[in-house]
Amino acid sequence: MSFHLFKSSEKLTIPSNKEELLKKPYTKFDPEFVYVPLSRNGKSLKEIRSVGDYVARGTLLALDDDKFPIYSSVSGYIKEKKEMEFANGHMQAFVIQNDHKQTFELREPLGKVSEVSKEEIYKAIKYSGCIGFGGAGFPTYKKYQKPAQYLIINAVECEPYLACDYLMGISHISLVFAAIPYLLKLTGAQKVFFVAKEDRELLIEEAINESKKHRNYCVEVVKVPDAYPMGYERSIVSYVLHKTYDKFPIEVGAIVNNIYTYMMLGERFLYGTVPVTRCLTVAGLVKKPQSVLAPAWTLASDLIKFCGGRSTKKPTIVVDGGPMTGHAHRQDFVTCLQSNGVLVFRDVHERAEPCWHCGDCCSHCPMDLQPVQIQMALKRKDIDRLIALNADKCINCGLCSYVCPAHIDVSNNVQIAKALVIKAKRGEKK
Amino acid sequence: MMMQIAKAPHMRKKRTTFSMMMELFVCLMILYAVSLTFYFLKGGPRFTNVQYGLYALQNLGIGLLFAVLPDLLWYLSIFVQMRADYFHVKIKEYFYKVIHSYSYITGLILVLLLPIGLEWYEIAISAFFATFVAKLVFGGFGSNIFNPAIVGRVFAQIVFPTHMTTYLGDIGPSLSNDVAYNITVGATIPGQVASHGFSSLFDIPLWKMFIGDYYGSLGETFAYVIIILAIYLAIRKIIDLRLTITYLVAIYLSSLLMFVGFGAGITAFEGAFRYVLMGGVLFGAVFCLTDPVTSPTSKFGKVIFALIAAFFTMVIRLYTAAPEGVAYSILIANIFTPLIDKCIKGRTDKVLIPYTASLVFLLAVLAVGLAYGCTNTGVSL
Repeated sequence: MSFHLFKSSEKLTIPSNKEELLKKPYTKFDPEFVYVPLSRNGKSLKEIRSVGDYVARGTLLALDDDKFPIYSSVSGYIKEKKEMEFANGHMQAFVIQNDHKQTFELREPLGKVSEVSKEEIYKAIKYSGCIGFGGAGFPTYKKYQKPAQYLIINAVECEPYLACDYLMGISHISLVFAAIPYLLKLTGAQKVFFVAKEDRELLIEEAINESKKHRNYCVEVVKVPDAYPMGYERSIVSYVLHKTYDKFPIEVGAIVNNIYTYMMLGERFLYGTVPVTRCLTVAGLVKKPQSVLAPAWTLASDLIKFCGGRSTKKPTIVVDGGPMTGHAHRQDFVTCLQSNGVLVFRDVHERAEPCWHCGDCCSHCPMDLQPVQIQMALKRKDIDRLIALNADKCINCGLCSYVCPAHIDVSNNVQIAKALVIKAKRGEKK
Repeated sequence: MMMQIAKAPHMRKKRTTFSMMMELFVCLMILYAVSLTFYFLKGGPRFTNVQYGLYALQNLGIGLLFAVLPDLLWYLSIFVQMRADYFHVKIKEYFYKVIHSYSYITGLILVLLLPIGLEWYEIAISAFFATFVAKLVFGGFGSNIFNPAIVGRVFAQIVFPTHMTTYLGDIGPSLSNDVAYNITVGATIPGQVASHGFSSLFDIPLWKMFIGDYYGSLGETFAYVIIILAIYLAIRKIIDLRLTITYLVAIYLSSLLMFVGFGAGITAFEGAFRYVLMGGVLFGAVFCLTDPVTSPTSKFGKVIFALIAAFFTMVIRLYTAAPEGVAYSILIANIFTPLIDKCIKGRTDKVLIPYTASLVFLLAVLAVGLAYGCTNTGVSL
């Protein structure tokens, strides 16, 4: 425990609930159907294929205006096109019936590092359709548009329950390190940091062993304490580089990517595959909690069924992602490419008590905001005060709700305030 | 019907307001039990020790009952308006409201803040006033501006001043030159200082002051129990020691400078220590100042809040005719809480302004003690 008289960054260890999950190796799952979304961020994509076509794994299905592609995640025939509920909203989707043949449409692998040009590497990243697998789904190529000094591999995985990145990491660490020389060449970076939690000893050991094999570049393995939200970009950059930034880590010359993203890029560079599989942790109230390597865009109910079904008959919610930030669903939904967990919880709505202004949320906020004050200003609809409180700086980590003894949805209220502030600021600019 | 879907995060800390309040209640009950034991064992010149003990018990019963009574009446209106179809749902909701208003804690703190000598109806009126005016009128638990228990105590002090200051003195034991028992109430110290000088502070041995072997308000004399409870509550994160320690240190340093101004020499350290132990400073710092509802939310705000309270404690103790500074100073600091909260904007990751501001406020507190000490150099100890 660190003590600060005035600073609010009190580190908090939250129960991770993943001791068992970390020990179980991941299993593979091949579902009957996958549902490939045909829109991204509310914009519909230009379809390349149509209903009835045969597609293999990695066949191009659609492109967006930026020529950023979306690929099929299984091989089989496109059965129909219909509206589906995804983890991030309703979208048109191709329903692809899996023929379980696992045929793969491969791209051209990149050659030796010394022989490929920067342009080729950048194109390979962009047209692989790789997105940030940390959960936000930010297209990876956008991070590599500027040169950087540091590359940071984020293997912290601070959300409770989630163990998939760790399990993939310990079995495919060489893929992670295969991607590094290409990215170093692309960005001109000098230093690579591999950041993992201190209690993930096996992963740290693997990373150190692997880094010893590669003499031509330097990878520093950094252990971070077991705290939430340590895996957040901003926390990692401030922990590793002791620097803070405004919007994107590139401002301080750093590029942070999830370990799974590195793995997928490594696979793309070496073998020419595109990232269409995702390892998800299925846990919570299921009979056999485990991590599952499944094609992207699988139905959540299929995954839960694969893990033995729900272990309770009481009403449940299914959460896409980690328990701290994931969205809850009552109906069935299709997991995203960037989803890293499908968690089943009891559907309880706890009764909130009045806020007693204890300030626990203020003393734990990783962004040093004052959630309780933001909440009070929101109640008064006091936009000026919300702007003064920097409500738009919230990173949506959910810690304020977690620590709140009155069980108020502080985090949700701050989200509403954040949206208001962003809207007001846009209005000012216009 | 569209049901609301639970929002992230889907995990919550196990601690709830209710469990924290219950822990606080138990801690206060421990303090009360120590006090009760003291009165049962000690007795006094006018009454036997059993009578004293019974008085203490009566105070508790009356205090708790009349603190909860306004809640019971207030939520009756909600009970009548509720649209529940089943009676048991309504009654459950009614008791939920009453229990989660935490007025019994207000009552208990008030009982501990009042001297044993008050008549039962005086305690009853104070307790009723505390809950009704200071809490319910403002909108119930969480919305009050002033600390309800302190409001109750100040109310008693204003309405029944004779019993707050002399009743106990009347029945208290006669120590050296009729002064010591007045310390005990903690209510007439400025008056005592004016008439007898600061020497009255040194009448009882320090260890007696520390273990609380003298008469005062029910809970505020047992310094060691309060300190142990404060440490426990701070470890359990129920109170924020930031407030308590800032307040105590500010008062200690200020009174130290005052005694140095008197020309006390090495005795100044002991005198300042006694000055902190005397009256309701310790109790107020641990149980009243730290009330989350009426203190600022940010760490910086809490420190400033405690310094403001310390400033007014020193001013009221030294410069006014008011009997005791702690209760008034906490009420005055409570007024500043919304202002302090409003002044703290943006991200709270910068420490330069907080340190400078706290230093300025601390210097202001020290200046009060020093000024009094330098202008009254002739005080004999």
